[in-house]
Order: sequence, then C-alpha cells, then structure tokens
Amino acid sequence: MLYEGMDVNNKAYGKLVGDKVLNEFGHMSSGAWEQCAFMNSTFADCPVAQKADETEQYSLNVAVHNPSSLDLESAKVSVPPHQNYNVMVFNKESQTFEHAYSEKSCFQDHLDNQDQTMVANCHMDIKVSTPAQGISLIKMEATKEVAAVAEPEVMTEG
Amino acid sequence: MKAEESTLMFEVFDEVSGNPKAEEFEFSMKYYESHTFVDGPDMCNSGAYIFHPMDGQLHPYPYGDVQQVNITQGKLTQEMIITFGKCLYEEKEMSMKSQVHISIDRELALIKIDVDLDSLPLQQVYNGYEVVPNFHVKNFENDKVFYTDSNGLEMQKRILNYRPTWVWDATSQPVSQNYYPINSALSLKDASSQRQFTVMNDRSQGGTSMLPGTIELMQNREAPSEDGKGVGEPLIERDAFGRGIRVKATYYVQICDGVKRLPLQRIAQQKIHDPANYFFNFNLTRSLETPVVKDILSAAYKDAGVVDAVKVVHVPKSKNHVHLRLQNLADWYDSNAKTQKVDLEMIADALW
Repeated sequence: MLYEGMDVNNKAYGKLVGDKVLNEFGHMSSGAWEQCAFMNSTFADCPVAQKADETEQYSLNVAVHNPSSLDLESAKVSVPPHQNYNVMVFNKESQTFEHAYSEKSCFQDHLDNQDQTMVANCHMDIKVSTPAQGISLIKMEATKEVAAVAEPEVMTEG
Repeated sequence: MKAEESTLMFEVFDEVSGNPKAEEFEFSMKYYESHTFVDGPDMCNSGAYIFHPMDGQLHPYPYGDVQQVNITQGKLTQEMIITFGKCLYEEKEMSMKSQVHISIDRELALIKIDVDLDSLPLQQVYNGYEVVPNFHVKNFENDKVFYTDSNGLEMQKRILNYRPTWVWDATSQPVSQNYYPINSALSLKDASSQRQFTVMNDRSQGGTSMLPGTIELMQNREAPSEDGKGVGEPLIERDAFGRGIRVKATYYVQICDGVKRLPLQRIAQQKIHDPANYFFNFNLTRSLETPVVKDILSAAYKDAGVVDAVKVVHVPKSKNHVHLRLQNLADWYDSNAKTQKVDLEMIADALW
C-alpha cells in the first residue's frame, strides 16, 4: 500500500519536474522523468543501469530538485563503472549546456540480489549549483572511452 | 587517521584557531547482546517493543574489526571507505560486516558518516545483536548531561541515571533506562569549555550517552525471543531472499566551539529532512516554442526571510490552495539562535 502510494506520488513528482525543465530551461522530454528505485543505493537500482546495458552511447539527463532552504554546490549521481561521461550543466544566462567539473570514484559494493553479487559502484560528483527550492539540469554524455578511475589508496596499517 | 582493531581515530582540524589537531575523534561499530529466552511474567526479553541488553552488560562490545581502509581523494570530495568484519565461531565467511564511508560534507563543514550495516550474524548461540555506531571525542567531560531533540524541535536536557519526576531505579536495566528517542540529534556540551559535540541522524533511532564524550545510536536489532508485549514473534527481519535486512544510515557530526563557530545542527537538519531528489531522462530536446520563464522562487524566499533555520513546509490542500507552515527550527540550545522575521506576503506572491 505504501509502495503503491509512493509510486503514484513519484510519477506526479516526475511530471512536475518535467514541466519545470520545460518552463525554466526550455527543454522538452519525451518519456517520463524517473528516479532510482532506492535512495543511497548502487547504479543498478537506477534507470542508467538498463540504458547502459542497451547501448554505449546515450545522453543521461539529470534534473536535481532541491526542496530545502539551503543552496547546494554539488550533485552526486550513481553510474556504472565501465563508462565515462562528458558532463555539462545548463547555464541559464547563456542558455546553453557548459562543461562542468566532475569526478568519478568507485568502491566495491554488493547488490541486494540472491547471490549478493559484488559490483564496483561509482559516484560521479559534479560541481553544479542548485539553489534552495530550485532545480538544476545536467547532461551526461556517455563516451566510448574506457573510464580512467583512480584506484583508491589502501591503508594497510595505522 | 589511525585504525586499531575495531576503532578509527581521527584528528579534527579547527578552521577558527588553525589547530590541525584540535580534537581527537573516534568512531567504532559496537553491539549489545540481547537479553533472551527468559520465561515467566517478568521475563522482559529484548524484542520488538523492549530493548534489554544481557544482564550485566553496561557497555557495548566491538562489532567487527577494521579489515580495510580505502581512501579516495579528489578536488570535490575526499572519502575514506572502511570495511568492518569478523569471522565468528570458526566460520570462513565474514560476519559482523559493515561498510562505513567518512567524508566532509561539501555544503556544510561537517563530518558525514554513511554506515551500511549488512545482515546481522546468524544467531548460533541465541544471543541477539543490537548494533550501535559509536562516536567519541577524547578529553570531553559532559558531566553526565546530554541533550536530545523533541520530535526534531527543542533540545531536551537529559541527565544520566536520573529522572526529574520519579526516583530512578539503579538496579534495573541501566542501559535501557538511559535510552531516549532521537529523531534528529543528540548533543553534548563540555562542562569546562564552550565545546559542543553533536551527532545528527537521518531517521528516528534510540540513543544515549553512557560515557563522557560518547554518543551511541541504535541502527539495527535482531532478538531471537519475543518480548511478550503483543507481537508474538521474535524480532527477526528478513529480506526477499531470507537474509537479515541490510540497514543504511547517514550521520553528520559537528565538534566545535559552540560560541566561536556557528552550530550547524538546524541547518544540517534541513538538508537531512529535505534531501535533493534526482530525476533521470534519456531524451531531451530544445523546445523553441516555449518561452523560458525565470525562476524567482529561490530568490524570493530568501528575500522573504526563509534562510538559515527557517523551514517552510508546503501542504497542498486543493487546486490553487496551499497550506504553508513556517518553522524556526533554532532553539535556545544553540548559541546562534535568533528570532527570524519572515514576510508572508512575499512568500505568497512568489508562490502565486
């Protein structure tokens, strides 16, 4: 019952976000604006997982809605480990997408499936301003080049 | 940062004084063994309603040892990923597993700790596990006093082993009796200085401060016997595959001079209660027909006074009818608490 209620709400929320993107950024979307199935989870629970399985070249558009009274300076998006992205942020002044600084970091996690499959889950940290009660729009173009991800430094002793 | 068996030790840099070792902060995963399988009307086992550690256990045991520490460093984020775990009962598979991500929040100068607590161990000896992330600041004397929020609002003074309206029973369940509901924060003040140590959580939990400079919050529990309070079954929660549930929680930690530096508890509370929501789409095209409307809501709200600890809640009632609730989250516990003036007309105009 709770899940069904949240599902209905999320669809309506996605539609409102689509309206905001159209009105504020002048971009129209075909298809719904979807969320990850769970918060704080791996990329496998997000729409990008299926897309990355289908094709190597796609454009992942991300609308970040900030409902708080605090301005945000960055965004964090879960992405698959085998792909790299050219990240751009829509600039309302110039009315164009402009290159944005981003960093990809990966760590080992396990999926919540039967076998608890181990995966490398990656976070793309993106420098983007999302004002309080506002929305920002990010375009992440998947590139064919293999992602160069720095291996984390492992501390072996104190 | 240093890691010793089950504890991580950090030196915390103080921006105001420039002291690189202003505070020594420790983090560890710990657990209580549940009081279980006692029959009779006064059994009082640990269960869905009752938290009751094993008799005689006054402090939690280490829950897994530090197995590995990974550090990632970038210009935007620096993160430590710590894996805890331990092999129990001569098993080859690791139990007591958790993965902890520690970073500095980008918007707020706070320590952010994400704890991904894996399934609790199989109960081969019927002991139950009640797992508490443990936060500790060295050389901190809060004089048995701590503060807990009241449903996210005014901080309430709590005194260890004391109730203001009845005589505290020192012989019965000393840990449980000192547990309080923590909906947003548990905070300590050093008795001999202005230092303040606050841990903020992202969900309602039980919590306490049993030792000087120490805060613990309950993240997951599994008790194999039932407490006789009406549920009629043990506290064992399984996922779709029959494993114990995995519980993730996020904590924000601030250790500061409560007067020289702004306490950020209420601002962090806004970020925790209203996190950014991410929406994804793969097909976006420029629509030249639609005039671009400038977003004025954010600026108008700031001009109207919706800043800092002021929270605005929108409750849609019907078409063109929005119920607004304005809250000043700050209270007298914070040294920077102040009256906030808000212009309702400006908010209404911005919404309209």
